[in-house]
Amino acid sequence: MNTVYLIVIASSLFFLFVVIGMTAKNKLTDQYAFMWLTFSIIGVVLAFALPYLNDFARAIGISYLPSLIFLLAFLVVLSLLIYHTHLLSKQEHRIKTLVQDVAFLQREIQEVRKEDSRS
Amino acid sequence: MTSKILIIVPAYNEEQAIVGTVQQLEQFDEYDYVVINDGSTDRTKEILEAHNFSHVTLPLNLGIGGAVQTGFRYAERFGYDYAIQLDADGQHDPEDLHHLVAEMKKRDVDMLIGSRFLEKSNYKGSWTRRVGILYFNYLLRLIARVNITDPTSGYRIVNRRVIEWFAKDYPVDYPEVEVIVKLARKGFKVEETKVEMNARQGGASSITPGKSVYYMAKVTFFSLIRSYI
Repeated sequence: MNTVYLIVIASSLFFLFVVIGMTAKNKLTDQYAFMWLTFSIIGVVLAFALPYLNDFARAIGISYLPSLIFLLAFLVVLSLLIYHTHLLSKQEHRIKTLVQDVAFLQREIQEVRKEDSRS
Repeated sequence: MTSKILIIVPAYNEEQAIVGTVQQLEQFDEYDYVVINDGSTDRTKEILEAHNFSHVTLPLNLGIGGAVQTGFRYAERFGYDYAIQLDADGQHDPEDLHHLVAEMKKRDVDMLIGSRFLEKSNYKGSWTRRVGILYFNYLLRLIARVNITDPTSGYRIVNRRVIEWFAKDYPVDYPEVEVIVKLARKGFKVEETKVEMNARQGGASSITPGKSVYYMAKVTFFSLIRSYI
């Protein structure tokens, strides 16, 4: 077992503990916590399976394993980004509606107050 | 039966022009108006309150699309038959209001746009603005099959059907051209009529050359994608 192998396993475990810690302290809402837990467990499994992955990469014609890992990681990160932009757009839309509703309510409150002060 | 007509005045940092514009509007008894103060950072809010002008103040700046949509939601809530959008900076002449309403009722269209270019008027814009307008005119003829000589004009009147539609869905930024495409492609009738436009009374145009490139690209992109897919 060489040093690189140990570093990969250690960092994947570290990542898993960070996610578990954040989940325990309620710093992630449930659905995101679950998503990141899944990712970090996959990370740990992959780290332990590194030697087998090497064989797999060679079998499908990739002579340099890290390029396969980079490719997969890149695709995962890209889909996450799109997903987050989608969530962001949804939030923006909701905030816009809320801001408009707050403005309407403020106007109504002002009108009621004016009527009160008159009567 | 008289129809209820609302004038929507979006205002962002318009402390210099707002009093003049609203005082002109208050001379029209037959129309209601509402100023949408889009989270202004200057004294617009205080001025609106001090003069007791009808207004809605957004606690945050939503940008022109969100502000105008607030007006349409207001019109939808309080049962208005027509809504007119009029800029607060004094560029739109309230003298044209009667003309817009009369033409709207006569032609029975869904949206009527006040155009500076149908006949010769006093308006002179920057060359970037004119290039943009020509480009949008061409784009609208191509995609929406309507000939609008002044597609970026913000001076426009819509009927109840469009009010209800806009209350639910309105573009966030640079909405003028995009809504024409959307309405025309949904089968709404969009036409235009001649109006006068003045030079602005205060403040600066929000459209810089860099932004107009973004404006053109954005509208083209969304018009194509949202019309054909």
